[in-house]
Amino acid sequence: MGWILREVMVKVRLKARAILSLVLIVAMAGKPSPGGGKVYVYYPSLARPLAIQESLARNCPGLEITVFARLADLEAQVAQEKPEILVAPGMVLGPFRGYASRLQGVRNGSTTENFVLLSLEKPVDMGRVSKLEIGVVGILERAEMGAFINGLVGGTPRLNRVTKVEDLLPLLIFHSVDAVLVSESNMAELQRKSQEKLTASRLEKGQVTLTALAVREGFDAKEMLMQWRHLDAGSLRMLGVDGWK
Amino acid sequence: MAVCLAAIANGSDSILILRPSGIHFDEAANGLVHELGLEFETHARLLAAGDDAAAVANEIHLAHCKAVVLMDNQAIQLYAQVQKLWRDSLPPPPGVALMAVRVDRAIAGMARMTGIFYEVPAVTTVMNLRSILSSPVRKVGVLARPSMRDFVKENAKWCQSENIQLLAFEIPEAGQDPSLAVRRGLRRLRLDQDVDALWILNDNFLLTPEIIAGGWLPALEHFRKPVVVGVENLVTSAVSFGTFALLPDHYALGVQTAGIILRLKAADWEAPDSTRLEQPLAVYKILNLPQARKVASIRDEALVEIDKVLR
Repeated sequence: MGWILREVMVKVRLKARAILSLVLIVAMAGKPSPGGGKVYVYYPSLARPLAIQESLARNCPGLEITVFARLADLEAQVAQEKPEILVAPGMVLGPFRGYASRLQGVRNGSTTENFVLLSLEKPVDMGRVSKLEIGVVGILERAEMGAFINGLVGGTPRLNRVTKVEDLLPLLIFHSVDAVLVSESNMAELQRKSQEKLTASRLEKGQVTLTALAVREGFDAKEMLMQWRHLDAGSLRMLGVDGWK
Repeated sequence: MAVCLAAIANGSDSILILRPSGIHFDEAANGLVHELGLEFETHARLLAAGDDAAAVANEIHLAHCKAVVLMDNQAIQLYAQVQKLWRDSLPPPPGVALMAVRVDRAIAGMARMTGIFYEVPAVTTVMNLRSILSSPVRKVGVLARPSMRDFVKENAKWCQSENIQLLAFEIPEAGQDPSLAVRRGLRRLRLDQDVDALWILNDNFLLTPEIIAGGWLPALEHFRKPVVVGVENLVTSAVSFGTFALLPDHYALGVQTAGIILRLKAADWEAPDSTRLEQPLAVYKILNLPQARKVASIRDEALVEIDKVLR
């Protein structure tokens, strides 16, 4: 069994890279307009980065758009390439020096969304939160993530980090954690996928800033921002917003 | 070794990774090392022919490694030899095994071990299938040898929690033409059990070119339900075999391993519970869309959740 898996995984990896390269080539094929430039996006969601990238590239043909699956890859590429624009959840953008927030995503008129703790059957006993193990998507480095979560849940739970939103569901199903931390929009999706009784516990301080856009300091992004403001509804939805302000 | 000794000097915990070379092992090691961060000093030892268990034991001892990560069955076997040679006054460092075939069996009899299964569990597979279909998936068939009975039983238990019935048909390991047994088993699952989908195990015994040609392919012509596989070359658009493939995400396996290391550290490197192995959490998904449309109604909006869609 092992050899089949390995042989196949090599092919998967090579083909995935080929497809990613192809998408990048397609996205970059049209010569960037005078307002063109590099846009790096990091938005962990149920949609795959390639799907988000294809949707954004269709909307903004003059921009070189790359959507990253992992924070580590984004950090490495930003340090190397210094793109003109970064798009990511607000708390992810904070640590990037030399970038200033220019657009804030909104949804239903709000710039934040609520996060909840999702558990099997019973709601979470918030008085015991520091004794719990909670599954989270690792969108920040471990130390920063710990501080961020402690602020949200009002305690110091042990964290079990995963790389994708969809991986939170197996954490619950296999009883690896007591609860998982998700946005209300992702909660609805996870509840739709599972036939287990998934119960949400609201968090008093569970509001998290939505996706934002930051521009490299000193760069005139007027034309790029114009394109970004006119993304179609599907692309905006993939970034967790319905407009910008 | 030098890296491990440096770890002692700067106060970080040193972790030894025993692994073969290869892109998947690189990916898993990257996920592990990045997730552990700077408070750990990791040192990879690539496996080679004639690896000496005594040398590995000495390396672990001198470097005061807190834990050993073992990728692949070969690394586990080497660490089993290390444990036999271990003469330190302290017990051997806990081991975390991954990317091994049937990791539960591979670490049986060893001390202070835990690990992550490599095989993508049926419940993960079926939940992912269910999320792209408009029709319900309640009964899933599987063909398995008697030696895989415990594996199928464990998977059936997890499936139950999601209201999925995993129905197995056993293929004898000897005494019967396996191609004939595969055809008979699929017919039984299709007609008698009326399953909604088929889960094909990554079992070399049942996936030889002869059995694929003489057993699976003729039987699948009549199956007309989604077929979920664990290898990409069974989901190509050239042959009507698999509809949907779910493969392990190796980077994420590394991150998951880091989580185990962090929990071991929090428990002051006490012996892990070797009876509580973890299931892999993350998968890479490939869908043969034309094939899927022939056998089921697809939710187009769910296609954005698929890593690779063959059109």
